[in-house]
Amino acid sequence: MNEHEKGKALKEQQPSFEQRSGLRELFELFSLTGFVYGPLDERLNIKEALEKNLKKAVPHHVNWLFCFGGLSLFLFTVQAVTGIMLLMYYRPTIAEAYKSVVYVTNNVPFGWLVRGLHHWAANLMIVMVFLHMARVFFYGAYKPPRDFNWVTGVILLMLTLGFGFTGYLLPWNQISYWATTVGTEAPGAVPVVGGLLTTLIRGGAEVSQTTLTRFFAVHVVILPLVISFFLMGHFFMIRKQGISGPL
Amino acid sequence: MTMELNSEKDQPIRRRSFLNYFLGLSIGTFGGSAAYAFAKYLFPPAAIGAESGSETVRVMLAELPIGGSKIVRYKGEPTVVIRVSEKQVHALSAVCTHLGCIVKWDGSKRLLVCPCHAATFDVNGNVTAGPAPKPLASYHTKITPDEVIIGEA
Amino acid sequence: MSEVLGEKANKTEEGEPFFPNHMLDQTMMVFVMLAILVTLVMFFPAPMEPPADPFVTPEHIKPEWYFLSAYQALKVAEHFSFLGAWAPKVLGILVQAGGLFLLVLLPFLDKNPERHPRKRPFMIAMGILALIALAALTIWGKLS
Repeated sequence: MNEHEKGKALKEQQPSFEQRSGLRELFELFSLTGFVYGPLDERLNIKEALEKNLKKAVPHHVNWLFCFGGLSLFLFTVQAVTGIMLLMYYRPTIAEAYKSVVYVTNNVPFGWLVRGLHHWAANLMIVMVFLHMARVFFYGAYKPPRDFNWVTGVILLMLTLGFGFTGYLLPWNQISYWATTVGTEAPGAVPVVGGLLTTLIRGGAEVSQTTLTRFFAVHVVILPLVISFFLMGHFFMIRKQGISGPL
Repeated sequence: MTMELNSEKDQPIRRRSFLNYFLGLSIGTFGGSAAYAFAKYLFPPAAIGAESGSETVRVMLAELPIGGSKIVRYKGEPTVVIRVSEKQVHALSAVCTHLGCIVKWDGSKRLLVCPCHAATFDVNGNVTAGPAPKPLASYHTKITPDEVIIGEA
Repeated sequence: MSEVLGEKANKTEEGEPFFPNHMLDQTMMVFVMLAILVTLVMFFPAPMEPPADPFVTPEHIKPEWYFLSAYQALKVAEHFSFLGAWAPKVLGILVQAGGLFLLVLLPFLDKNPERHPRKRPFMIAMGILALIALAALTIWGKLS
C-alpha cells in the first residue's frame, strides 16, 4: 500500500509521459543524468540507492590512520589506468619486450611519465597495503564479525605481491631476469611437488619465452580478474559490517 | 512422513540415489579428465630441449685461449667450457645448483664462482665452498686440431 | 549478536555523513598521495637496466625491497645445513608458508574479544616482534 502511494506521489511530481519532450529525455539519457534524475531513475531507483549510501554516517573516531585502505584503492586505479596505457606499446616476447619498454620510455610522448607512475605507484601501493594491515591489526579490527574481511585482506596482500613479482619480469632486463630465476627457484624447495611447481611457474626448466608469456598473462589478465573479485568482497563486507567501533 | 522414511530405509538402492551416484560419477569423470587435460596443458613438451637441437656442440679453439672460458648452450642449458691447458678442456653445466645463477670462471683461482651467493666449484664441478647442495654436471669433451666437441668422448 | 550489531549501527548514526564531509578528507589524502607519487616520478625515474642475458649473472642481484625479507630468510636458513643438504631450502620455504598461513588464520587463532591494544598484550607483542623481524630481515638483506 505504502509503495503504491509513493509511486502516486512520484508520478504527480514528475511530468507525465505525454508532457515530457523527447529532446529532454534524450539529453538525460546521453548525459547519464537520466540515471539519477528523470525517466531512467523512475525505473532503476538509483537516486535513492545513491543517497542512502552517500549519506551513510562515518563515525567520529575515524582519524587519518583509517585512510590507508582508500589510498591502496586509489593507487590500484592508478595501476589499472597506467597499466592499460603501457599495454598499448608493450610486446611480450624476449626479443622485443626490452626494446618496447625503452621505446615507451624514450620515444612515446609522456611514456616516461606513464611508466614512472606505474613503477612508483606499485611500490607505494605495497607500502599502503602494509600500513593498512598494520592499522587493522593494532586496532584489533580483524575480530568477529570482521574476521572474514581480514582473510580477504590477506589474500589481497598476496595478490598485490603477485602483481609485483610477475610485473617485475616483463621489462626483460638483467635484474628482472635473474631475480625471477632465483625467485622461481625458491618454490622448488617445497617437499615432493617442488620441482613440478618451479616447472609450472616457468613453463619449462629455465626462465624463457614461455615464462615471459605466462607472467604476462598472469599480470594483465588473471590477477586483475581475481583481485577485482576479492576487492568487491572486501568492500561489500566492510559496508555490511561497518567501520570498526572506537577502542 | 515416518512411513515414507521407513520405506526408504527398506530398499537398499533406490532409483534416486542410484541416479545421484551416476550423476556424481559422470561429473567426477568429466571434471577429472578436464582437470587432467588442463594440468597437462600447463607443462609444454620439452620447451627448452627442442631449441638446442643437436646432441653435440662445437666450439672453435681460436675462441678459447688457454686459461679462458666460454659459455655455450648445450642440452638447452648454459654450459661453461674451460680450457685449462693446450690439450685439456672441461665442459660443465654453468647453472649453479643453489639458485640457478650462472657461474663464472676465475682463471687466477682456477675456480668457478657463483655471483649470487659465492658458491665455488673446481674444474670437475665439485663444490669447494658455499651453499651449493650438489656438484655441477660435467660433460665429455673431445679436442680436434681446431675445435672442441662437447658431448663426445 | 544482532543486538550488538544493532547497537553499533545506532552509534554510527552519530558520525558525519560520508558525502561530502568524509569524501573531502579522503580526497585531501589522495592529493597528498598524488603529490608524493609525482615527486617520485619526476626526481627518480623508473630504472632502465641492461637487457637480460641468460649467459651472464650480474653481481649482487637482489629482489625488490618487498621480497628482501623473504630472500634474506632463505639465506638465514642456510645455517641449518647441519641437518642435511635438504634442510636449508625446505625449512626456509616451509617456515615462510607457515607464517603466511598463520596470518590468514589470525582472527580464528586470537580468541581474545578485547580490542584495545593494552588489553591484549600478547598479540600486540607478537605483532611488534613480527614487524621488527620483517624490518630487520629487510635491512639485513639490503646491506648484505
